[in-house]
Amino acid sequence: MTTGRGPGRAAVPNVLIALGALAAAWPVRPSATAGGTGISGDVVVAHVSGMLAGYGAVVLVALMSGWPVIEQAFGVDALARWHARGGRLVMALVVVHACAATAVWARLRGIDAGRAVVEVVRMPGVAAAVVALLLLLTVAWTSIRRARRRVRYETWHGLHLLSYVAVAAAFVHQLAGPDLAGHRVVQVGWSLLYTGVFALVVQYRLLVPVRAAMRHRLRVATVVAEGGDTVSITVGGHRLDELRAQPGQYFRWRFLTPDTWRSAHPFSLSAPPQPDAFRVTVTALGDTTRALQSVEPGTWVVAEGPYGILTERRRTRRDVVLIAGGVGIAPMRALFETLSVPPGGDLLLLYRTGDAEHALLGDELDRLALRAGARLEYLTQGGGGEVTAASLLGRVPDLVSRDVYVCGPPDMTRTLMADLTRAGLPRAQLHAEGYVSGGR
Amino acid sequence: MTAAPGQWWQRHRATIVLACVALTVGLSLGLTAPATSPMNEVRPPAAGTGP
Repeated sequence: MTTGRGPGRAAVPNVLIALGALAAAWPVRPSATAGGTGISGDVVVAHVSGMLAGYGAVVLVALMSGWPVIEQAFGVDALARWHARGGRLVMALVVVHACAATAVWARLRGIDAGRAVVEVVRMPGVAAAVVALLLLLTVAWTSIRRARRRVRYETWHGLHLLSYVAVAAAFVHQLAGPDLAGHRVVQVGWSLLYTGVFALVVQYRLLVPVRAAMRHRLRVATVVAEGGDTVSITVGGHRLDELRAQPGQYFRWRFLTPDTWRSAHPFSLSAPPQPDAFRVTVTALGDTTRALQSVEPGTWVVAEGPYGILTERRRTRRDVVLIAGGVGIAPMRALFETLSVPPGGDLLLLYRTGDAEHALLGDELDRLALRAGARLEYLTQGGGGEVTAASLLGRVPDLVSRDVYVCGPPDMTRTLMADLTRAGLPRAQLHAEGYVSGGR
Repeated sequence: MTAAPGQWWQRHRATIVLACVALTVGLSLGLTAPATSPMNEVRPPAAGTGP
């Protein structure tokens, strides 16, 4: 998902992460000169890349830990983006560190590379680090193939979980490595950083979902065909109001069938949440979503969430424009029903679809558009359906004085966000998420 | 409305236990970690043992 965030918002975690990286590289100073060998470029590269890789790895785990403090501050989508970018950087640092450390050892010992590898691997914790390196290379390889759509999402996701094992294994090496060994305070701090982050993972990726599953006991109640390759699935449960879900938000859903239990997928609520039921609308875009077209009532479901910023709470103006593309109509349909319309106010839903006659959830939207102050317009291809700031300003001249909510394909959402910002729409009034295109 | 102490403990018990475990494990690992690394004691090989 793509979340609209101002550049200033991203600066805070960037600065914090950079300060952490400086602190992580600090112990390198004494060890880089140990053994009376003096400082040389390859020694510094070996040490600094190793410490930054160890620090970066734990930051990557923290970003995906599900910790509500950072998820609510920066958005799950931004965290996932940083995780993906940071993953490539950390992978590069790990490889540089492994090569540089071995090369330095060979030079200082005056031995060839093969013998250096043997000697280095025999050092405390290095065998575990080699296992970690192999696991990370496997994960990186599947990620590259996943990006090219040559690996199923479920396979990629399953292998990606090996990263946790790799990070834990590499931790053993870091603790015994030349930069931390002998510095007791740093070793304790480093250990607490790792155990703290892994505790967050256990808490928010394991305990909280399991506890929620036991408390809310979610099961598929009904499955309604919406036409095409789309169904609306109503999931019933107990005490769902305790989750404080809002229209426009989404959960990560795991349907416990033999075909779909392995991975959780983000689906927005396509109707206002009820105390005993949630509804999602799922279009067949991949293996899991295809399997969900025929999911049986009574199927157990585990949901993580709610997530997402497309809520009334973000609203700053009286008048609102909702812009939906494709399956992005799901959260917009929920908002269209529930956003308040003050006297004299205007709530306009612009729905880009291929065919207005058979638009997804079209009947419900037409009915909702009957309430005072609510309007619905279809943007169809060939019927002036371009979604650009210029075309939108033609339809809604006072656009920049409204709140604008956008949910659609990632490319459309990204392009439109940039276009609207250039057209003068303040970032505080722009609330956008792109639905996930991969892994469905 | 403030939750009663008993309710607060019930709600946060797992979190507190997990935090205590993480603290204990972290301290144990840090305090028992090796004090030296062979990499900090690198020496060229004795004469005649090099490649």
